[in-house]
Amino acid sequence: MRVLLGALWVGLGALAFVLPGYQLYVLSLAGVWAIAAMGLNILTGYTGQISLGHAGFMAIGAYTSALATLQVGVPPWIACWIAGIVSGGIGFLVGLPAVRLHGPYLAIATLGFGVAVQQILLKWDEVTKGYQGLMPPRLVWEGLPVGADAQLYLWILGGVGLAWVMAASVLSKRPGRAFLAVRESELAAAAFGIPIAHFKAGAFALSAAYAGIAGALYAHLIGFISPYDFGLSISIFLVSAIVIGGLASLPGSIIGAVSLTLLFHYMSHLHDIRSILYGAALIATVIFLPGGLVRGPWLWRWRRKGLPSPCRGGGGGEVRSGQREREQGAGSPLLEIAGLTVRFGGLVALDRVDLSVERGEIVGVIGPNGAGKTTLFNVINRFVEPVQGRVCCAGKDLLRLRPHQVIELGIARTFQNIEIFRNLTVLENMLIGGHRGGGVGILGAMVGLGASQERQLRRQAEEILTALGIAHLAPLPAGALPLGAQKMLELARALMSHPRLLLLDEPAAGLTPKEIEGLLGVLRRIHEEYGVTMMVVEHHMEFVLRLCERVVVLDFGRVIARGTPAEIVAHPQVVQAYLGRPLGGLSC
Amino acid sequence: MTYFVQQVISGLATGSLYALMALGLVLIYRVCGVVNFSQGAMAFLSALVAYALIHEGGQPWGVAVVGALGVAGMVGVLVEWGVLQAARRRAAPVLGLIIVTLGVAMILEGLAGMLFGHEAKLFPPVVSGPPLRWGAVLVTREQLLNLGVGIALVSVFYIFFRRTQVGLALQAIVQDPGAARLLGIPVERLWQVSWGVGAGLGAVAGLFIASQLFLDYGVMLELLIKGFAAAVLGGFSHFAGALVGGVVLGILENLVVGYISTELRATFAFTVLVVALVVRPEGLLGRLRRRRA
Amino acid sequence: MLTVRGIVAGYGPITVLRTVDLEVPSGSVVVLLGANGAGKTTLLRVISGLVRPQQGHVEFLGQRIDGLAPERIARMGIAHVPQGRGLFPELTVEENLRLGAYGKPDADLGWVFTLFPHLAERRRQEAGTLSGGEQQMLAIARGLMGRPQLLMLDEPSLGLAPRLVEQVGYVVQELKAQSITVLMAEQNASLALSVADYAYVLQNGVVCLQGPPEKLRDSPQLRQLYLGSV
Repeated sequence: MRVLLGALWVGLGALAFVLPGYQLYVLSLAGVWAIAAMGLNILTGYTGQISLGHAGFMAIGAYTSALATLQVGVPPWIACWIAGIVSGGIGFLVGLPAVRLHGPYLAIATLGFGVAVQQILLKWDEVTKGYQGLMPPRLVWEGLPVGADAQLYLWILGGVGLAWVMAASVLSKRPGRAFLAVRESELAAAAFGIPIAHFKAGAFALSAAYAGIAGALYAHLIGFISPYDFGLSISIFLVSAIVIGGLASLPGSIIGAVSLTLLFHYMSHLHDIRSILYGAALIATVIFLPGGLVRGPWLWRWRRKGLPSPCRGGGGGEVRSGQREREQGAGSPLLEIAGLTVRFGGLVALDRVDLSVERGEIVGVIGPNGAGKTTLFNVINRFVEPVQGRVCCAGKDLLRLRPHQVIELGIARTFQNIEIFRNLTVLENMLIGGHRGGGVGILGAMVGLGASQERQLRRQAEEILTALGIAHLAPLPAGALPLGAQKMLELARALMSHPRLLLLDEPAAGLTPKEIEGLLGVLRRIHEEYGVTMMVVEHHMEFVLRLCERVVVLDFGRVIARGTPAEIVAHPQVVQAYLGRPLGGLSC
Repeated sequence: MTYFVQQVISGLATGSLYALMALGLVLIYRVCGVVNFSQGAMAFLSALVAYALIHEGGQPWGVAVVGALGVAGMVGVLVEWGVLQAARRRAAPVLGLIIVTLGVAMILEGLAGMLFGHEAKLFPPVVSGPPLRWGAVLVTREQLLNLGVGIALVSVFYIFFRRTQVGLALQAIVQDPGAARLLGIPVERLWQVSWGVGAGLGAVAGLFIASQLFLDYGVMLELLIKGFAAAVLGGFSHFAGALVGGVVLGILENLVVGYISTELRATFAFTVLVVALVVRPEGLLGRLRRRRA
Repeated sequence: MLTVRGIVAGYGPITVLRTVDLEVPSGSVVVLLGANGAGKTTLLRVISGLVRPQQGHVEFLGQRIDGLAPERIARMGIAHVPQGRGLFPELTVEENLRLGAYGKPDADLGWVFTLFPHLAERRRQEAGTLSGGEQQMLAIARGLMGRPQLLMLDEPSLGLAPRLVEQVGYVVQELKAQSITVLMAEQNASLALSVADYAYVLQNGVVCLQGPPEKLRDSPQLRQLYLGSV
């Protein structure tokens, strides 16, 4: 695949000597937009943050570069990099407060930002010369046998290639997955150790840097810039390019940018029809081709072929790689909860709950609907703030931590609503599960580090998937799996972080009896071979009774019984909580 | 002192236009949960229809307004019924709905250009007569009309929403459309009506601005962004908020222009928008509601 | 009044109801029992139109209603009080109640406040700030506002203290006395059997047991269903 892309790139380079000047100019322009589009796609496609103001970052880059070359005399090709760094920095500053904004609010804020930048550039004419604009030097060397248009084209082609390689390096590794995880489910991402704000702002910075460099290249391509070149319509153009081309896809960004640029230039005389076509294309893409042009024909492939079946002989092997001592019992409890009280408005979800889990135990938490079981887990994961109480894990105070730090204590979790990353493949889900294990960050990945950690992570993922019998589903999107497989995936993902405490939220819900047998077997194996402590919230009584050594019963947020499964089933209060008290005479 | 009062009064007048724009945006957002980025384009098209009625049809202002509102209403209903419903059926994410409204804006802009050309258009004044005097302060009749219409419409909406059954239903459907259906509330039809009315409000604001300045797409776009700023200031969730946001924005903008510099007129609104969203996204009056998916 | 035949339904690839037959005679209280995930909620949603069945049909007062929009079915006289209540949290108690009578000319709050005096005291309070029990009462009250012929309750005792659970039972009996037919899905078997004229037990998407409450109450099968075997 890489060889093909390389050959394509060289072929495109050869066009410089074949095509006439105007075509090269249009293609160069397309290249500039492609770089900006790639950047925007990292932000919008990968982390799901909408920006209607990226023209603002392009403007910042263009003017920075122009001023650097004109006022300070920096050579253009260095000025471009400076432009990127400045834009990136401002992008980070914009991204930080933007973490709190979602959806339409973010769109409006970025819209305002983009227009504000344009206005500032217009009014600050001592520096920017306002509407008169600046005339930065073009990236051309006199005296070369190659013409100006061809030189510019080759420069920009080089830029596109470099931008692609760097972006691909970041996106195919840990940071890229972290971006996707943030987009798919902030809840699950935090539970697996991804600091949300860090990656969201980081994505903003990276995409702003790309836009800034694109703006700088634009400046040195055209040789003239004015604030009117970077208005709202440009921001919308960039968004359209990535939506039509394909969100969260580098080739899609390029396809979208190039097709729209060609459309614009070869239809420039039919201004109104062009607008209508443009608008219609946007709407049609959202409705009929949500994956964009790049995914269109492929969307149907896995749907038609159906799911592959497991190979015979799967389902054995190591559940976890790496050495881990078996946790011994005795000593202090692994998890201690004391006096925990949680309120939601007028509702008391948990009422002075005391609970402890010893190392190596399997504890079940049961109770009728609304008893507070999932809330208990949500407190441990720090998604919910208790009104009072103490929660300690291995002696450390859990309540001081933020959600993405909980996994550092070795606590991993599955969710009642199955928070797998539906649009990512099974393998990607697994790799994100291993995020905590450390590895390369955004900047490191850009320069190409992290390859060996990737390989190790993949190996580990494959081993666990094989042990759980779902390795054959690895390349499929998680959302396409049947329920039983999705639950296995959630479990497998939780195992990636070598947890010592596993929180399972209704693992048996919706499974057929056969799948439940399979699940029981897997959980027992995990427990016996590696001594993973488990806490299971469940409705399925038989499941709990067969798996758990000890059971705690909640009702209306209060603990009403503790004991072995046999004791619990015979306990009169438990029976009453589930079957209800027979009604005596009815009173008003 | 009189200068201050003068600026405040003209600020009030322009502010009520921003409030009208914001009202349309807030209505559509409150009922349908969608931010209508094509509001400016809808206003543009409707105002052009009014212009055509006045200049080519020789009709008086009254007929032109009715025509414009009619067009706005139809376009609004059509967009919701045809485009958004299809997008919703495919479970388009938030970004998708935003893109769809942007696409609609582009189509409307193209249509407007094809049918009416691109030159800026001038309207005859809505009301004629000398400005009114109040001490040393001058208020034009148009400004009074702006203010009057703005306050009247906001009040009507407020009463309608809080006091009628349909108004209550409109509030309910964004909180839980499924439960609303179970009560027999015709959710889709109400969405369509809201779009129609929202577009109509934008058209009224557009007509006022066009008659005071001139009619071209840039003017409408600026109005749209100021409408956003006003809506955000007001919390994007209350109608009273739209009025307060618009008025505050109008007054502050005028004061800045009057006392600091006319250059900053446009920048000011955009800066306010960004700062407001960053510092206090719930606006001056609102609460940050977490919408149900 | 209501006939359900051969319903197969689910969500996407997941089939929840695998062939369900049910009858709700006019004026009676019929109860759906079953563990979590057995399909009780899905069945109610099929009847009220929120879920389209893949097979089978539903008849109400002689008319087929499967496939109709929920708004239409609601206006035909079926009120569905969903699990989780479906209240409008930012509207007041009174506003929620008035919406219950949407489209109907007279909204008789008096009658409802007689049945639920608790709510009368809180009429101007926002629904989202009520306690769980009060919310459940409000949801049931709202369902009654439209004077439905069939009231469907999905787990009304969920999250309610025993005193309020008794209140629910009382309300259901009162409704029966006023000729309102009730179909109730419940996890609380004791409550359900004390008010029911007839009961169906769902497991894994089919009716595995049915009959009058006397027959079911002493059934070892029922107990095993809820508590499993040790």
